[in-house]
Amino acid sequence: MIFSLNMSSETPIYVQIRNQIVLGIGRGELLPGEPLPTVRQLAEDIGINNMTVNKAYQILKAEGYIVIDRRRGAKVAEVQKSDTEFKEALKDKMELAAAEAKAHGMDFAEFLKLCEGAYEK
Amino acid sequence: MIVVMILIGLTNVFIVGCMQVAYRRAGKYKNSMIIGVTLKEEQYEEREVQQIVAAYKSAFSKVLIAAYITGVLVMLPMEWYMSIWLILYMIWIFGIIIVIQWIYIKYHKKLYALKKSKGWICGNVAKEITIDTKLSIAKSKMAVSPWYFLPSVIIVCLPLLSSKFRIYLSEDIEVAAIILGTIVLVKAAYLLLYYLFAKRRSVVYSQNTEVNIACNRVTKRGFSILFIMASTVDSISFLVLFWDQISLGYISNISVILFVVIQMGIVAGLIVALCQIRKKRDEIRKADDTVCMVDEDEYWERGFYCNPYDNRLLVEGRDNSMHMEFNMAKKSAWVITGTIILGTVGLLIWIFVITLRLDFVETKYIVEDNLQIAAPSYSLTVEFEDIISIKLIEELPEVKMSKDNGAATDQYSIGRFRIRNQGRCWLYVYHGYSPIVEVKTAEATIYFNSKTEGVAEECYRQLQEKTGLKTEKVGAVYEDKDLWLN
Repeated sequence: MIFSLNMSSETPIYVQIRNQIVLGIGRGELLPGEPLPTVRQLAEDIGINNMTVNKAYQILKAEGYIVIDRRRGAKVAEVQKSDTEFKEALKDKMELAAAEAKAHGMDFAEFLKLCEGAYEK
Repeated sequence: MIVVMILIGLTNVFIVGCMQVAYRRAGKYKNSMIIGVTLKEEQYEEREVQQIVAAYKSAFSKVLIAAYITGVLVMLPMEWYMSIWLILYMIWIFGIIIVIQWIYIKYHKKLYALKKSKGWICGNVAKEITIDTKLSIAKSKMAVSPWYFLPSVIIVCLPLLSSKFRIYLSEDIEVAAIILGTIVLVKAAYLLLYYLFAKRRSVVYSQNTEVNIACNRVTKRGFSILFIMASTVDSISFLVLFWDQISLGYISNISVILFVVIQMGIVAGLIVALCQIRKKRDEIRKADDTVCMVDEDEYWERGFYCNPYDNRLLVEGRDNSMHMEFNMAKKSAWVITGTIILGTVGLLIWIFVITLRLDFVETKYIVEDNLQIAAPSYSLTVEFEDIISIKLIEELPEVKMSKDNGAATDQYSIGRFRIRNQGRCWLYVYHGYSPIVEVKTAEATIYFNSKTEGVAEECYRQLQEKTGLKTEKVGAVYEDKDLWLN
């Protein structure tokens, strides 16, 4: 998987790493069981502290997107079933996104089209 | 002297030749870059761009011709005074570097200003860092292990097994420090180069992971093997010198020539191999149609790299070369650059002062409570009770001498030398002037004279008086001449 990080963005680097890996998994660019670079390898290539990458990996692990093995490093987790907790969290995010769309004058059909496009990507 | 002049003259031609290759390459459109500015092919073909490139090539050619001519002419004052020549030579060498770099920066800025005025953007902006996860995983297996440096360290340490070599080093701490210090520095430099080039950050050239892995493998593996091999050959060249010291008791001219040839071979080999690595990498990139263009011109605007969003201290240079440059957005880069500049200026001033004093300050001799020789950089005091014999001779004995620590030109020989198979000697001799006073002690022999008439004779007379030694007069046959013959 090839992804980019914006070093001048207001979004923290660890959040960007987390988001990019989630996007990669969702788009099928990162397959279940596929190994990820070690914290050190990724930190060296981005040119940041190991701790930043480690923070991103810990979040991804807590969210169930990756599994970390002490010896084999990190790899993409198997597809997980969406539980109630996840659905609730997603619902909150969608509510916010829908509110923002409405506030910007977007109608339901247009919003739905955007959602479809994002999901299909 | 003529041989030295020719050799340095050829080196000058080689230096200018290297600059010609490096900077002419900057004027060729390659990997979406021309004179250090990223441009798409259609942008490169614009008339205004072509005009700037033509002007750059023309200005560069003129400077090159001037550099080649002055590179030969600068050798002429070498016959005159060494110090003056050295100053002129440094002015020449720094002069051509500054002028060529100035031309490059001038046209780079011109082209970048044009690009900005046209609003051309090529690919991702450099604030974005692109990562290829499979490349990051593969990178740890690309370079050859640094443990392969071990044989080169073992080879260079082999002479220490010889008791003769250990005695040679223990005899003179200064020489031992210079020899061992040089070896440690050279080996450390190769190891540093290995880490800088072979262990550096992976570069994403394409949207195709296979291309990225192939390009990075070629570069990192190539560099690591290259520096390990160079370090091993370098150790062998030192072994050639040390072998002479062990077997003959001195270092022969053949070994010195062999050492220089091997060292020059290493440099030539490194240049050829670097070109091959780059060629191979470019071939892989050429076959790829998913190039990952990154426009980081903004951070090269002033002619050097200054990117606050990039955490790296060293980055690969532009102008289609493979050298490394500092990221001047980092404080440590300024500290290191400042230290290097100040260190170089300091070292040059020190060398200039030493050579100017050697050329223009004459050695003085004081015979009072002891013999004091006040020479530029190589002063010496000899106690009268240590003197075994004093002689006044017309010229230096015909023996082979090698310089330990001193200066030897056509005009003078000053400093510490070694008479082959005999021992140490100190020379304070201005060539073409006689007589020469020879003072022997148990540890060394001292030869001195003066450009001023009567000084050597007066010293000789005073030494006779103070030491009470009866010796031969001017023009006497040197009794132990056989001993001096090699």
